[in-house]
Amino acid sequence: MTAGGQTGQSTVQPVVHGGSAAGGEAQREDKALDCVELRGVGKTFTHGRESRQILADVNFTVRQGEFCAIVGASGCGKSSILRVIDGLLEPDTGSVRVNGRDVSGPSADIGMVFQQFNLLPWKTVQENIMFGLDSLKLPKAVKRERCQHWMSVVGLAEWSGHYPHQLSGGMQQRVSLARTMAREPSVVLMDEPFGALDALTRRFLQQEVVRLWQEGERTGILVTHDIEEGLLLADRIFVMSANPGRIAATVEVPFEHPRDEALQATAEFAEMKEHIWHLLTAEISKASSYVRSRSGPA
Amino acid sequence: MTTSDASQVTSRRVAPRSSTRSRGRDPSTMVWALRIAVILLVLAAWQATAASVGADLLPTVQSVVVDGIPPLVTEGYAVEFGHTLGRMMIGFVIACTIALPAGALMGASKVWNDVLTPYAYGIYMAPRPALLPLLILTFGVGATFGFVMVLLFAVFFPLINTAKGASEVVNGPLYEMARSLQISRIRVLLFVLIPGSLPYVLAGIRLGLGMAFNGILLAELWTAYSTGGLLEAMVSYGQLPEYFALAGLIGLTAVASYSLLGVFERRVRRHRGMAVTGSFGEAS
Repeated sequence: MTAGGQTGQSTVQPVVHGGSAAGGEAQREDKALDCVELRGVGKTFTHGRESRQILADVNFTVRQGEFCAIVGASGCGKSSILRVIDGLLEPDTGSVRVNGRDVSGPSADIGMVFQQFNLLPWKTVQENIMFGLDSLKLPKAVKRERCQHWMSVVGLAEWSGHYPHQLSGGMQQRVSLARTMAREPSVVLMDEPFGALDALTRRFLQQEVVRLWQEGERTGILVTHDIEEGLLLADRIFVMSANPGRIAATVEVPFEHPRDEALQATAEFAEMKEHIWHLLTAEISKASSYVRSRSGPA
Repeated sequence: MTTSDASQVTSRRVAPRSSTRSRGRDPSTMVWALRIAVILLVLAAWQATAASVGADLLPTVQSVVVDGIPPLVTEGYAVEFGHTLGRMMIGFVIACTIALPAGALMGASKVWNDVLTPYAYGIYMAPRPALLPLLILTFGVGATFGFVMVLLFAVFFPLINTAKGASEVVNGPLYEMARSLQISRIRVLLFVLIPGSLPYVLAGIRLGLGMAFNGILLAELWTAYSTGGLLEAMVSYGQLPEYFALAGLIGLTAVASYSLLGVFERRVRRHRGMAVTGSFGEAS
């Protein structure tokens, strides 16, 4: 994780850029370090005769080693962006590049952690992690070694022979995290990975993720609707608008790691949270009036 | 592992046992006790009815046990029923051989689902007994006719359930996860699609087996062939104890095979951490 800045007694002035490519993104000069790059991405879903534009002209870049969060209201297309980056969803317009290559489908470079864990219920912890390594052209001994390593990292070595239904939600999500990380992708996408967990387990796993990021040079994109989570984990936060989804603003997070409960209690943290909240509510209100104007008078 | 994780896992394991103890009564024991009570009630009602209408119309329970059961072995009725079961199983295997791949295709492909669904429901909704004369003319009155009847009766549930199971997997999160991990098609089939849809497939097979019993007996009763012929002859010649004993054997065999498959299905569900109750037509 890159250190975004410093905390202090003075009031933090949030650095906010507009959502377009000509805005904040253009100001950055370290283009060579761009790891994930979305340009003019649009996506429309069609169900029968009805079609709905989910994403429109989505532009952003994420630097190598950076951890970014995407926050937005439910249904604004946050998860669709991750699926586009992962190659699970093909955009109708625009381009997606990861590590300088166009994304045409899932690749070993990108790993995804899902909200609902998506573990195979008929496989044990160890088998689930090994399943993740299945498509990698590695000797079996290396796969086994990686599996053991990541089971230890996430603290589940003793539970290797257990099935998912014998584990708590937090443990299942750690298996899911280990399955993704064992593939050693350079980009890790996380789709509300803590959304289904209780507050205590969520906080613990957030700290685990921070620790994992501090240990390796990975790029991360986290989708969340929890502003605090974004502020605790990310270097930058992309605020999304809805109907259709696009990046409305980019907020630089100025706090250094570790970001703990003490930081959450500061006025600066509250101010940042409030600021992002205002950005979000403004976008939700714009989206609602857009929907109302499209649907006509009641 | 965190304390909260450990406590969650521990409480999950301990809770069911303690709740059972606190009630002081095992629900499954009560269910079995009630089932036996229902059987005893039916037998008592049978006995009372037999006593009032006379043995020519309805033999008593003792008469069925004493006069009806021994001939199942001595007269070879049970062996004949074994042959019927063999033909039913052949027809049922043919039905499953068609239904499972076709169902998987329907579940995995929207196009094939749209193509095959009208035929599947056509087979189910069609008044099959009305087709009997045509089928007899086409296939004769022997074993082939039995196979065809079993096929027609039993193919629907394995087909539709397999399609449903495959569709749930293909449109579900596990399939997306496998795609994201770039798992090969054959491994997705072996390790995601088949195990994921197995509980649905087993439920379909169980329901299909019940229909197979119906199909083979209807075919043999219509053509007075094998077990069906025996049942007809027993009624015609007034051998009612033998008739009830043979009908009881058929019923018990059907219920036993249905229950055995149910036990297997529940084991599979439990092994996969899936809900044990709730599948259509399931008895616990």
